[in-house]
Amino acid sequence: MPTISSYSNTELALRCHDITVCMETGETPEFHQLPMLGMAVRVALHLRGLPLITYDLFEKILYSTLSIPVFAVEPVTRVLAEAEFVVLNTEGPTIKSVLPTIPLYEDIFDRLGDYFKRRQFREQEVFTVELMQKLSASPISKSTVYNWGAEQSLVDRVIEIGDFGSFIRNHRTRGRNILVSPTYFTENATAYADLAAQEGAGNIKKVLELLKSNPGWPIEIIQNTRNINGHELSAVQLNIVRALAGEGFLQPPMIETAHSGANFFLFGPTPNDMQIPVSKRPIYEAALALVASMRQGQLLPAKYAIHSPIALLTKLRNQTWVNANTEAMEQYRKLAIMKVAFLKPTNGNWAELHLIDRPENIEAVDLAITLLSGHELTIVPDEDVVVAFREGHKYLDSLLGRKRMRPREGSRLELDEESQYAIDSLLMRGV
Amino acid sequence: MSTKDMQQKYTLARHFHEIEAFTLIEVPIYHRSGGNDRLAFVTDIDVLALRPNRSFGWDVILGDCKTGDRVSPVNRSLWLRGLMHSVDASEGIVLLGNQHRVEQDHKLYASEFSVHIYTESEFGEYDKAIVFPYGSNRSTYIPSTQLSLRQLPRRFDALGNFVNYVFHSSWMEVNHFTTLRKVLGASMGISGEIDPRKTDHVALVVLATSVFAVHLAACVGSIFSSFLPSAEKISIEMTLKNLVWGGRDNYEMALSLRSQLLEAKGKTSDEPVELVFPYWENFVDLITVLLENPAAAFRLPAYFQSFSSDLAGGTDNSERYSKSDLTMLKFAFLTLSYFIKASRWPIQLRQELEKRLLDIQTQAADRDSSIDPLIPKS
Repeated sequence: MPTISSYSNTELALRCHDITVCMETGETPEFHQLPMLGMAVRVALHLRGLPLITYDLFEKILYSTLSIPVFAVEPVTRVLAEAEFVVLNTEGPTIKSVLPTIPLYEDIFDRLGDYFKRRQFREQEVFTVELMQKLSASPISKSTVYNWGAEQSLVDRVIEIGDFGSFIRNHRTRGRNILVSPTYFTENATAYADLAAQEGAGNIKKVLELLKSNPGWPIEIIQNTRNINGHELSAVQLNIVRALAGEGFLQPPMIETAHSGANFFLFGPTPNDMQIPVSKRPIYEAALALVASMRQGQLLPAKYAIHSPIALLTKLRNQTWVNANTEAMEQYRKLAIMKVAFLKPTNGNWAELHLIDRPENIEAVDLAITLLSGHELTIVPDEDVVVAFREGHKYLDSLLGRKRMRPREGSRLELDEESQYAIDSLLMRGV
Repeated sequence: MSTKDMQQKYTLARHFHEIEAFTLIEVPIYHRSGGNDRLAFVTDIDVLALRPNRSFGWDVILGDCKTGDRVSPVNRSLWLRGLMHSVDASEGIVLLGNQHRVEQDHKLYASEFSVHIYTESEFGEYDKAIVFPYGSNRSTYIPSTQLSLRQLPRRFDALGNFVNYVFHSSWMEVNHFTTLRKVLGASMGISGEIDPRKTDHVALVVLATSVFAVHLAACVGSIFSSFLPSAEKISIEMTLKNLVWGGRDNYEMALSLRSQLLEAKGKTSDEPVELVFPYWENFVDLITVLLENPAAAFRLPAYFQSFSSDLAGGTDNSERYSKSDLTMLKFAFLTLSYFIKASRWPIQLRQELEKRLLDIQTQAADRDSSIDPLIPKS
């Protein structure tokens, strides 16, 4: 069994944050430090750069928008003060206001993870962190989890909490129980579970890691060279690559050219809502299209290859256009359809690529550069919450009003694919 | 210090304060480097104002006050122009008694080299147009407090060098980064002299913070213009380390001097040493926080002057701050907190001032708009 010191500060804080976000206001007696750390991270992420906030507003926002239970607001606030992320203005035992003092470059995860490592985590909490750490890389067979050295009752209880807290899903596939975390496999969880049952978690982990550091690698090249950017793949891993491009998974971006035919460009799992909020999904899709077009020019050129996709994208961002080439029309066609850029014909079949000057397009180019750099997508604060902290009660009331107008997320029973299938098959059998 | 023409100096100081400029009355001028052991007094500036500009720097403005009759306004403007040149000022104001009648051509002549000549009543109209609509007459800022605080060494002579450097000689320095270091050094030199129970000591500390904030804002403005938006903490930190010592060569020299001094005292260490401010990480964090809104950083010196005036006079004018001032007030909290900590002044002093600033922010957070002290009371 690992101990809490087995994890880096960032890993510990990140996993606790992810679990807490999924559990929302849900509680379990086994968890004590874990939700406290998760909530502290969640609040701190929204406080950077803010001026002083009166405590009644602070309490209201934490409860109504960040799902921090009322009884936990004060302990979380005091933890943030001890970690020197806020300064409290108090009168006796009463907190009057909160002054956020998080430095611009401070790694919130690292500092809070370090702070909490001095605290005593329970066995169930440590095991949950361990399970989430592993599930962040790949779905895992439940039987494997029993071999990690923990008592079966503990494993079962943690999985039960995970199911109740919506951070672990058990998928029954190919006669095996496969555990998947919807936090890291937001879409196509059933397909990933099936793949894990078939090919093994270790192989999936390796392929996904390679795709993270080499996003948008063309499937055809992977198949022909049996490697991703020089990293050799086994036959099983090649099967995984084929499966990721096939049925059940998100259709990878495709570019069709006269000289190389139709090519698909492979990416890892879709980022979750905390990394790419729903409102920014079109930007993410535009970024994927940008990466795919760069990979096309880099790895499948008709004549002259792109030497550095990052340098070219940086030029597109700063200069707003890149030089003409003969392949531009086919290579960047999708970008023009998505209104990210337009093609300006020059001589014959040559065309320049011009970025359409809109904030979301610049954001898409930035995101594409981040993806190509292999950097982890960071968790972004909810802009509405940050504005509510700045603007106060009036904005918060209007924000809560808008939220009430939308269908309530918590009140609707979300059926996962497997449950849906179970119900459908039951009905099909003619009950 | 001369007590002549004091009301005119206060008038100018209040005016500049209300446009959020840092203001000092009666600043002696010495030669920058000096050929003798003792600094030789040249003249003094009646009113020195540093007004924030849109490029995140300071515009230096000089005020010259003359109530007497025996003065030729246009000659005075030429004298002021020379003084402006020596301190790199961009604008000058000659303020005269109402008995003067200045030729319109003389005014035009002076304004060609950025010197503006006003009689007291003309300046009143000018003031109302700039500090619209009521002018700065009702300003709650009491300019005389800065003079009495700067005279504290008469009672506490250990504060003499500190007051002389921070409020007088430091204006002869040419580089804000190195001046920031020297102001901090001067403050550290009196760490054992500040008594938090003495109101005038506390007010002096806050007034000195206003000088620290002048140079701090200039450094932030300079970093903002040269680094952002691609700034990374490590590059800011490296640059700061070199700049506060006047460049890489000076830094290396200071580092080597430090090792030699330590060795001479019998202390050797194989550990790599760095020559940085006390609580260096906090200082770099402070700079990076101020970079989020440099304009608010440039409001700090005037704020600290106002705060110091309140502390010295036992008044509270914090009701003029509202929600829109919260970022500036947060910066004031962080700057004051760092300056006192790094100067190694008593912890009680820091805690009490922090508490007061937190209360001011808490009240401002509940106020949608400020209560303007300049509005005439009905």
